[in-house]
Amino acid sequence: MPQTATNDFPRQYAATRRFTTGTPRDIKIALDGAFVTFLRSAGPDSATLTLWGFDTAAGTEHRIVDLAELGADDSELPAAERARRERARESAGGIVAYALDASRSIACFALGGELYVADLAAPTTRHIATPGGVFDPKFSPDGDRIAFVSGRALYLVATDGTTPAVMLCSDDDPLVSWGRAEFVAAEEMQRSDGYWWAPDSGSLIVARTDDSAVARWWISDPAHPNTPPNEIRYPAAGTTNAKVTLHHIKTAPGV
Amino acid sequence: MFEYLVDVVWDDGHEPLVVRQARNQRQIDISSVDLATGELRTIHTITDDIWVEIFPGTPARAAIASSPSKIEASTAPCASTVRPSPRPICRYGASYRRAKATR
Repeated sequence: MPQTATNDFPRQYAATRRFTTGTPRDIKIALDGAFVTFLRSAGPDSATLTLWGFDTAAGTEHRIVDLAELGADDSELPAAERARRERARESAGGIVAYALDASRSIACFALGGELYVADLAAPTTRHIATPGGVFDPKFSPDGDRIAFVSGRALYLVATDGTTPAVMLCSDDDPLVSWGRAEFVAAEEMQRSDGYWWAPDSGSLIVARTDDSAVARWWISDPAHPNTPPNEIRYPAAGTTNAKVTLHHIKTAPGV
Repeated sequence: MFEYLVDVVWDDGHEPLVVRQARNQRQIDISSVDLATGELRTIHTITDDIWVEIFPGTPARAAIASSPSKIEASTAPCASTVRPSPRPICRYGASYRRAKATR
C-alpha cells in the first residue's frame, strides 16, 4: 500500500531544513545586556529570516524589520553573495546576516543586493543608495560609515545616507577583487571576511585577491543542458592558489 | 611559505594581528603588523607534524587581568595557555594534541 501521509518525518525534516526553521540564530547581545538581536523566520514552515529584538528586562520581543514593508526582492542576489551562501551552507532567505555598530544600537544588512540600516530601538529601517550588488556590509566602529563590497570593489558610504557611496579600492583586472574572502578561505578556513576596520575608524585592512593563476573549471548544470557551463576559478588540491595580499587603506575624512 | 591568510584581528590599542598558514598546513604564524613599514613581527608560531587545525575566533586577546586567580578558574581547560594581554591567547596547541592522542 502506498504511503499517503503528507506530514511524515522525511517531509517535515525537509520542509523545516532539518528542524531549524523558526529557531533564533545570529544572536547578538547589547553591551549592557538589556537588548538582544537575532534572526528568525515567521515559523517552522518559513525559511525567510528577518531581524528581531528582545528586551531582557521586560521579557518581550519585537520585530525590527518588516520585509513586506521594505518591498525588497531577494530572488536576485549578487554572484558574490550566492557564492558566500554556498560556502556557508546557507539555505535561508531574507536577512541572512547583519552587522551592528560598536554601540550596538544600529544594524546594517544587505537584502537582494540593496543596503539597509535599521535603528534597533525605534525600530525603523531605511534604504541607503548604492551602486547595487551589496555584499558583506560592515559599520566603521564609530558607526558613521558603512563599508561594503560590490562587484570586485570595496566601497564606503555614510550611514546617514547624506553622501553618495564612494569606491575605496578596485582594480581594472577582471580577475582581481577587493574585500572578499577567496574560495579557499571561505571553504577551508571558515573565514568570510575580506576587510577589517581599524578600531579608530580611520582606515581599513583590505584583502586583494588575484585569481589569474588559479585553474579554470567549467561547471555544467545537468538539469539545464541548454545553458553553457559556468566558468569558475577553482583551486583544486595541489594546484596554484589565488594570490592574496593585505593592504592598509586610509579613508579620507568625511568620506 | 605562507600561502594562506587565515584571519586578521585588529583590537583597540594594538597593532593588527595577521594569522598565516603554510601551504603544507603544518605551521601557523601569528604576527603583528607595523602599519608604517608593513613589516611583520611573529609573536607566536604553532606547528604540528601532521597539520595545524584552524579555530575560528582565535587568536583573541584577553582582557587585562585584575585578578589572575579569577582568570585561571574561569578558563580552566586551557589555563596553561592563558597569557595576560597583550600576548594573544591561542588554544590550538595543547588541547589539539590531547584530542589527537585519543584517536
